[in-house]
Amino acid sequence: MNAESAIHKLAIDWASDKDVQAAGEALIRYLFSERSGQLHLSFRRLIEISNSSPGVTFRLAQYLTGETLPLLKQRFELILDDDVWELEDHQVRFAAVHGQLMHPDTGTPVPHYKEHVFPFYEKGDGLVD
Amino acid sequence: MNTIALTEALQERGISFTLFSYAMKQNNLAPSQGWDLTIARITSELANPKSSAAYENGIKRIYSDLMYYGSKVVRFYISKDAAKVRALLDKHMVPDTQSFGKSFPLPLPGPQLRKSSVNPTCVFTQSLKSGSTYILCSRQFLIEREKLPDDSLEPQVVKDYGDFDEVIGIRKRWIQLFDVVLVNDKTGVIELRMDGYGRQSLADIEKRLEWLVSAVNAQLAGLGKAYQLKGSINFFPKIAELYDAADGRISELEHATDTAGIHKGKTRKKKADFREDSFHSAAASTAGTLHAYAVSKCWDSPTGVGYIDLKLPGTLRSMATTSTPVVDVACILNCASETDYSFVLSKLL
Repeated sequence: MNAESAIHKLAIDWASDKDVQAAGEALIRYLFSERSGQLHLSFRRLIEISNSSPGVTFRLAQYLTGETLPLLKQRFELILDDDVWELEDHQVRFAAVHGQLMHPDTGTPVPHYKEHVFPFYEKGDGLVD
Repeated sequence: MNTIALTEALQERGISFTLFSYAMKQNNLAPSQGWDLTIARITSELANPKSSAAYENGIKRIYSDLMYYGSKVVRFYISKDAAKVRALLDKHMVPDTQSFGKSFPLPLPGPQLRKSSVNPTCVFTQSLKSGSTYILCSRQFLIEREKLPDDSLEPQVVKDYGDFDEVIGIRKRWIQLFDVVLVNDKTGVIELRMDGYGRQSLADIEKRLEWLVSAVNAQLAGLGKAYQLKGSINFFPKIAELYDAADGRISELEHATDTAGIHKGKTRKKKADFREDSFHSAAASTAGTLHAYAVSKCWDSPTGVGYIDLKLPGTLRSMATTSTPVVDVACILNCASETDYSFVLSKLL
């Protein structure tokens, strides 16, 4: 897949929403220009790159992490002070179901974990060669 | 040996839960989320006749592996005659039976630990064809700081002292560490593996290491000066080699430039390679020599489960000296098994 075919697919799927289309085109061009490197983008960066509102970016991120055009993959990281732990999917699922996130190192619950867990986006299958 | 006591001792020793999970998976055991649920899971598997033997033997193996390997600060010496050194140490390293030796391989309970030695004391020796291994335990002081919930202060305290932006709790306690000395008379290598990485500062671990070197040298005094532990392997040249070798992933780098810059960089996840960071790679491709003085490199475990880390903790000061820079310790981290540890050694030596 290349940038043009991805933008074409986006235009068809979001024909009724020009805001998502415009934001998506900017973001897709950026993602393909950076596809050789390792990506780690915060939601704030998606807003900046797509030059759109948080609401439009949210719809766009949901679409690009879905199965139709999987250019992004959403992951989560735990940030405590200046230390960062990338969370595995099973750790995030457990936290969502049980309301407790186990610290990857100490193996004990992280107090007020929701204040310390942040989403980020990395390359989805559609960007991996 | 009680399997649950061994597991709880690993938690008490501050072993990373992620590392313990990797060790369980490498031994085909199933971890759960966090220590409490994993201990509950192990308890239930021990009660099941179909899985009890696998869990009992597996946890015993993991406990031993995380004592010998795990995360260690290491130093290597090449001996003139390691067989002679081994023979003398075998004679002098008599396992203690009064203090640490009473509970080994478990750590001493708190009240007894407070009365034990702060200097490494031999608790176990093992003699194999290729060499001898000695495990030494010591009592070390630890100060832990933990951020407490904002509402943890009594209203009276707030009234007397005012509001605080952060409330920090401090715990002072004693912990038991397990250091390992190995003498390989086939290769002539004497290896000192120090415990406590991540709990003590590197400076404190190195102080204990120097004490241990002095203690071993005192025991070797009868053999003459040529047998003393001195002139350990210098890992400084390895820093540039590790950075340049395409395998693995650079996770941390500290380097200086000819234009008065000091750069410290790291990746935010172990799956990323700092060499591929756009900022670093653009600068590195045009700036010439890197002058790296500290590096951390990470590899996927050869077992297919987990990752392992090698850190060469050089300092800027070492670059400022007129003589050859020296980095005489390496941190071999996150080794869930002998396979992991041997893999890192193959990259280091």
